[in-house]
Amino acid sequence: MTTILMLVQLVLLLSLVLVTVRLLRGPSLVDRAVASDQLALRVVALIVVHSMESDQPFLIDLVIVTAIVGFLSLAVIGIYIERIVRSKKQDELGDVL
Amino acid sequence: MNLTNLVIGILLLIGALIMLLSSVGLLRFGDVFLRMHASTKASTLGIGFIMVGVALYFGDALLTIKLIALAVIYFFTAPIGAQVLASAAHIARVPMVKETWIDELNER
Repeated sequence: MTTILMLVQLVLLLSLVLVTVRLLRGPSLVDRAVASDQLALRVVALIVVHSMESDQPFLIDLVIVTAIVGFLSLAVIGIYIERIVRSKKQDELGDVL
Repeated sequence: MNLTNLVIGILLLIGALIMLLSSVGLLRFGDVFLRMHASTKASTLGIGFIMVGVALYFGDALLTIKLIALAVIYFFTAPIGAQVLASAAHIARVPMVKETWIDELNER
């Protein structure tokens, strides 16, 4: 069981590294927003697996808060980009788009 | 290792591998929209598998309800967030891959 848990954590860590590469390299702001949301999701998965490994079920409560905050930040970034572009003030964003 | 532990291990491993596949898609695809297509759906499925595995491990009613609530939160918020971001990217005219041959949102 410990071996399988270690393998699962290793695979999740590898996917975390791949997402981080996209987060650093992403050409546009939307790429970075998607990558940071995926990063939060993998961290959630790691916390859930860790709560099972160390037998601490109260960590699940923490994860619910992380999920809701991650969704809100994603929606706010999307609405922000849309509003900036509609009001023709793209200079504020520079060349990130 | 009894049977329950084996099932839990297989579920966790499937979830982690699906997440790895989705992050490979996030890294390799050529376009914002393609990357969202790869990442959003697959990683929601992967976290669903992991939640089922952990719920089987603890076997506690309250904790199972919490994990189901978490899965429902993800299954409802991931499409909404992806929709908002994709429409923002389309309005901001983020470049698409050159193989794109249809853009229905642009024709209206």
